[in-house]
Amino acid sequence: MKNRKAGSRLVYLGVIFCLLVSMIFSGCSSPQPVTPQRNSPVPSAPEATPDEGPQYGGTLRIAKTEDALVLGNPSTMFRQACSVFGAPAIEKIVFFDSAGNLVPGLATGWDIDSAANTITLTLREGVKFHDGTDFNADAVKWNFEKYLEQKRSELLAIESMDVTSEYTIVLNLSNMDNMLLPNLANVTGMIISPASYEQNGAEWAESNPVGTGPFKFVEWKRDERIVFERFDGYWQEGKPYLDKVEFEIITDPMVMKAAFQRGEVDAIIELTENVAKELENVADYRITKTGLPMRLHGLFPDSNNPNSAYADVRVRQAVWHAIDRDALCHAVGLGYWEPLNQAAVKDSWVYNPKVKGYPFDQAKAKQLLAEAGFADGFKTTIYCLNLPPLPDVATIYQAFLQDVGIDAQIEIIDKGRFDVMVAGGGGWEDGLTILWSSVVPNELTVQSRLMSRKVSAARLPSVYFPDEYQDLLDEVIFAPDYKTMQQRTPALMEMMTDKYALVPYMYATNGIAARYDYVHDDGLYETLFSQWTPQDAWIEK
Amino acid sequence: MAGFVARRLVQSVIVLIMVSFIAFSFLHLLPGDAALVILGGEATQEEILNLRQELGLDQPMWVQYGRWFTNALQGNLGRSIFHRESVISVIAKRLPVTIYLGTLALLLSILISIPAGIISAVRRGHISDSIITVAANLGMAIPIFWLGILGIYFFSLKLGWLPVMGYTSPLDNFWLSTKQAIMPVICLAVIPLATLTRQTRSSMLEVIRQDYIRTARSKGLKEKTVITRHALKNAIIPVVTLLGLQARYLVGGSILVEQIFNIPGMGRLMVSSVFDKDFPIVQGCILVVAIAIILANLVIDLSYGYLDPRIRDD
Amino acid sequence: MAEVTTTNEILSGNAPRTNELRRFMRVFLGRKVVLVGVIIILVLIITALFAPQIAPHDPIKQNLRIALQSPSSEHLLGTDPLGRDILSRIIYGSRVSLAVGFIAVGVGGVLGMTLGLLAGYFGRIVDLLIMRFIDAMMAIPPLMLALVLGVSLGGGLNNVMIALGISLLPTYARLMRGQVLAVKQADYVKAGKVVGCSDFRIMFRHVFPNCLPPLIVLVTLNLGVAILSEASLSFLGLGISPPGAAWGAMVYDGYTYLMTNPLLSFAPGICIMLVVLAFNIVGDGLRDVLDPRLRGTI
Repeated sequence: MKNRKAGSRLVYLGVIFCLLVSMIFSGCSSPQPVTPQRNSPVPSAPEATPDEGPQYGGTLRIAKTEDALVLGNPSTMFRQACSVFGAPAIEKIVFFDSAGNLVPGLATGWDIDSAANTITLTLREGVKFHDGTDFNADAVKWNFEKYLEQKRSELLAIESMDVTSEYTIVLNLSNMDNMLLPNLANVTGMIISPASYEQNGAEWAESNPVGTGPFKFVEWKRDERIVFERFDGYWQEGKPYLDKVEFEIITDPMVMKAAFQRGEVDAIIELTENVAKELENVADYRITKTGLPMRLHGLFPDSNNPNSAYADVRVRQAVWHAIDRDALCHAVGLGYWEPLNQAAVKDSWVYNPKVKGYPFDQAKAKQLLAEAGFADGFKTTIYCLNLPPLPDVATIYQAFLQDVGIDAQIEIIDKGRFDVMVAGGGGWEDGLTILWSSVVPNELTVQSRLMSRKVSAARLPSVYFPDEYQDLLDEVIFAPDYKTMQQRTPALMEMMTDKYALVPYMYATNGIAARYDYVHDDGLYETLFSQWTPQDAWIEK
Repeated sequence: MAGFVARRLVQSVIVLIMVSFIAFSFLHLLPGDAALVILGGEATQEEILNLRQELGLDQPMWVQYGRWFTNALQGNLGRSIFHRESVISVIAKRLPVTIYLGTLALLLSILISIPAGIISAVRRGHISDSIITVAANLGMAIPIFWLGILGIYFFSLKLGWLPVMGYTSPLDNFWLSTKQAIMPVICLAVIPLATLTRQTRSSMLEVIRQDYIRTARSKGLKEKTVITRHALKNAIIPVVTLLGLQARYLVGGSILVEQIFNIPGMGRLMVSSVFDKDFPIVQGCILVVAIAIILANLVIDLSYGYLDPRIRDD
Repeated sequence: MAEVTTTNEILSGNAPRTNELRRFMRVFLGRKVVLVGVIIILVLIITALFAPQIAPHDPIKQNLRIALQSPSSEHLLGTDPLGRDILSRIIYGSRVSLAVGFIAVGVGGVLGMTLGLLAGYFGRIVDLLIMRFIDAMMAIPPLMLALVLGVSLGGGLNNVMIALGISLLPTYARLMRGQVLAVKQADYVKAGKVVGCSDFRIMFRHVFPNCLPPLIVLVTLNLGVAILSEASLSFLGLGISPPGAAWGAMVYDGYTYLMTNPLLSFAPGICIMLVVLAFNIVGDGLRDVLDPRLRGTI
């Protein structure tokens, strides 16, 4: 009979436990009034100007969820995101300002001669690499040669280079490439010390960044941290202010947030929108988002497949009409995203205000589907990478498509399969793939990298890009000068959107960063995600 | 005895070859390749082909495996695609972290579970037994990653007692290292703790009913002496067997726990390498973990063979 | 993930004779805690079967205007970030949890027992190969195995179930082989051979009944393990495709809102805990009853 008693005690304990648990979470979830979400993008809180100027000393600890793949050998660095890590040690030829204009970096001036197909760079004098060697035109030429050895498409237009003086280099181009100069503000503009590379080899260089930057590399423990310390011989006198810069790699975004809240790091970059939302109203933090959009997200149809419903332009238009981008940006973007009606954001010069686009109109979508012979709708698949918050986004697309009769299944795919489909030429069938690309520095790079046959021959075999569009795109990208490019772009946007509805573009995201308000002038995620200003950053004590 | 040991060793080697083969065939199924992952979604076709060639990924899979296997025989597990260094040196940096935390977790669980199991068996039906049994059952039922994140929420953010995450070697900074290790070790220990407690309780219950214990009791020996001297000795044997199995769950748990607490150990290396298609690392990790588990079981089997001659002839 | 019991423990069980069924029920259900476990499992099964009748809302229907609401009379557990009713998603999620449990255990059980049967029956080189293969699988931690397999197969709920099943397989193979070997030695089998019964006939007549009690225990305990592992794999990035609702995936999705809407991960988390607890308790109860040495004394 003893056992019976034990049994009933167990039940009793179980009940107590459940009560305790329910108390815990009823305690946590105080009822919250449903506040309407702000539509306008969240303005970054203006930085409070402290009374005194920059202070010296201190360590800036920055957390990010993903580590660099390559730190120091930029010719093998393919991801723009890696250049954030290298930035303390390696400077670029030019930089972007917050409006996306080029400003001097290691080059103080540039001269484009479109008649002669040359770009002449005037380089900064008196700059030294961390290993003590001089920065000069030979070093730049050596760096560019490394990029060309890797057949980097960004610089492929360079046919030859002439070093005309210690600090002048002339790039002779096979054809005028208007993206070339902006690419010198990206990874392909990073300049490392040829001497250190030659001495220690390519592999060493990958994990040992030796550049001209304000900080010297100290150590890199993969998936843990990257440490830089002050470089006393930095060419900008009196800078940098900080003693050290450290990157902490914290894989889980929630843990990263917790570490930030507890003060284990001073700044976190590449936040998810809901984390940003949660931190937004805390007085101690300053949240910024990149002035330029970071990525454009679209639904890429398999329109090149003649059996696919999406081969019909009306179906692609219907998809565009069917989805309420505003609601999407509210619900998942939490005000940080911008809805799109073409492959450009409203503030960009690429944006064409005359494009009619496809406003949210489900009746129109149904009508277009009926005209295309799909009055009863059809079945399709949404391919979605397993990367939050994309599955939520896919779920919202699915619901909107359902409203107009398109019955979509969501297929969540991992990075490996996604890369095969999208980058590896594998393609997909009977479906829409959620795909995005980085804006560096303007939306034309999106089209040139994804859609131009000249830039990349076998990209996205599943998606239909008509010859007429391809020709116009190449005409824009390879326009003889910047002005011509700008003049031809509106027609390109109109053709892409109104005539062909090639890819229903949905929203643009911005990179978001948060830091404690004692961190000043870090420039993290203020212009582009790949740009920041470690030399100006300082910590208020 | 020597024959038994030799037979066991040969068996272990066969098992290891099987492990590498299993791991290889699974990896063969993995979609995508490291070249694509390294380059990301914005690379051009030419860039991909170049890199693939450079990494040797354009070779047929069996060629890659053959090369890997012959190298592995010479103690060379290949080079990591992402870390750009030898797999052995990558693992050598990560393994001590996982072993350190795993050992602490195992010690913690032994120290708590055996007394708890004994108490619960001896005081069967009492409130203490009920609490221990319910706690042990709950330990097996709670999702570990969830427990970890709750721990961060309460102990780091609400109470501010412990750091959120990270790992520091105890040799560098003992105090910080210990503070950082507390939550991960507890999370890791939960399952072994629950399993061992239950096993101790049930084998203790079994032994207590045996005739020789009754005899000992009837001889008027103190209950404490009966339990510690006579019962425990016999009851502990199945618990020791189970201990060997815990290596599997500690490694399994480290996959989750290292992910949550941002600890640079084998578990996290495994997960990131699986998703990054860093085949040499995944192969290496599986092999090293398998060696550890096989060794643990071998030691236990051998000590059994030593203790119980009948097993040798099995 | 957690193997609740050792093979040795399970192997020691024996079949209750049919005339003991009443006694079995009395002893088994006599413990209130086991009764509670059985009730939880019954509630789970009923919920899964009648989900459409029980659920107050469509679990997939989203309404972005009411995203992340706190509990109300309309939405008893509130709504998720897409404005879906959490209670309804939990109710529908019970189907997935049951499916994960049964399919994973089914896959592992059938494959494992087939391998074990082959090994035990043919002996010699077949036995050696199969059992070394099983040993090799045992040398890879189950979660690691499930992760690599799940990613290899391409993710998605179906593949996760298969991967989990395969990670559970070794125990079944060992259980089966042990029983086959034991039966092979038994006098009645030797006698049967003398009389001229076919080997397979003997095997099936005698092996399965002997396996049954430990098998029932193992299956019950593994159901819980599989449900728990689904949650772990969701956390690592493998799981059900949206908009489907599975508890593990809900815990993981909700956990990003832990500080603002804890209910999102607490509610499904507690469901997982209760159900796994129930399976463990019932499994234990079964073992106590089916184990002759402890029978009747509980």
